[in-house]
Amino acid sequence: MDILVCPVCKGELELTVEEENEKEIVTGSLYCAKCDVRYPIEETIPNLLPPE
Amino acid sequence: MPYDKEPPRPAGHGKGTGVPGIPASPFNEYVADYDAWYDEAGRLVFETELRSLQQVLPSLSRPWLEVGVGTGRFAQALGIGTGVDTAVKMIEIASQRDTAVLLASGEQLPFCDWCFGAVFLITTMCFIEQPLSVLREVHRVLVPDGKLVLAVMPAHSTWTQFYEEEKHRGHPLYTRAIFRSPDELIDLIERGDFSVQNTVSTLLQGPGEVTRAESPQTGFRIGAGFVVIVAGKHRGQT
Repeated sequence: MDILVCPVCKGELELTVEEENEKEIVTGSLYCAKCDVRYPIEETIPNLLPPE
Repeated sequence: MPYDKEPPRPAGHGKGTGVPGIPASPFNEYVADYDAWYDEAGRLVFETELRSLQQVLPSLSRPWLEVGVGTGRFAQALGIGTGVDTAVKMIEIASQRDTAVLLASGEQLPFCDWCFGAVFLITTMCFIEQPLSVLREVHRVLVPDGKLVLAVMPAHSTWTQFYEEEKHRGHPLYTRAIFRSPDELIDLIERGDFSVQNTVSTLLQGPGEVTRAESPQTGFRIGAGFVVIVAGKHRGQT
């Protein structure tokens, strides 16, 4: 997670964990305050595709 | 056993493009056929391609990223730690193969500057309409002495001739492929601010003729169906 940045502005992302197991985050989000965009993490997979 | 004459794997191995405007949905739709290809009809081709990539691995520093990771077959076999793709069905399978995967676009990578020692694009380039945009992002995330590893199916080989025929028959995946000649590929790499440092060629057996896994050959061999190009950032650039 340390290497992840916003795909658009390359700024820092704020991690929110909703569910995790001993290995990884299952559900949560990565929020870019600068762009005001929240990128979801679903079933352990972050979706960092830029907004349409 | 000869290689099946009509491989279900598309050129580009069925990966998401990473480029906005090119939907990844067909790759989601054909994911089962695509992934089965590696264990079945494409087993010897896959082994041949892996051998050529394995030859360049000792020159690469970690960590590694694959752009267009697909279902993670190459990433798993080569030990690539992180992969991105735009096709969610592909990524779901890749996530079960020991690679940290994300849904992300190659044109807008969600990684910090200078965080990878090598970035792989394995038969992904042929699906990218604006490859320079992807190469610029790859350049950004590579450390100063990092390497781009571009594995391509060059135009004019018997393989890409076969894929071109499929393309003209309206194959849902091949229609999007753009095969580039060796000169076009090298020009593209140079315009992306990289310099070619090493090339390895393989797959000189044509479609329907593969009876064994081949050993890779040094250099850019005309007629090879699969070529691995290792390129570094231009000297003095970061």
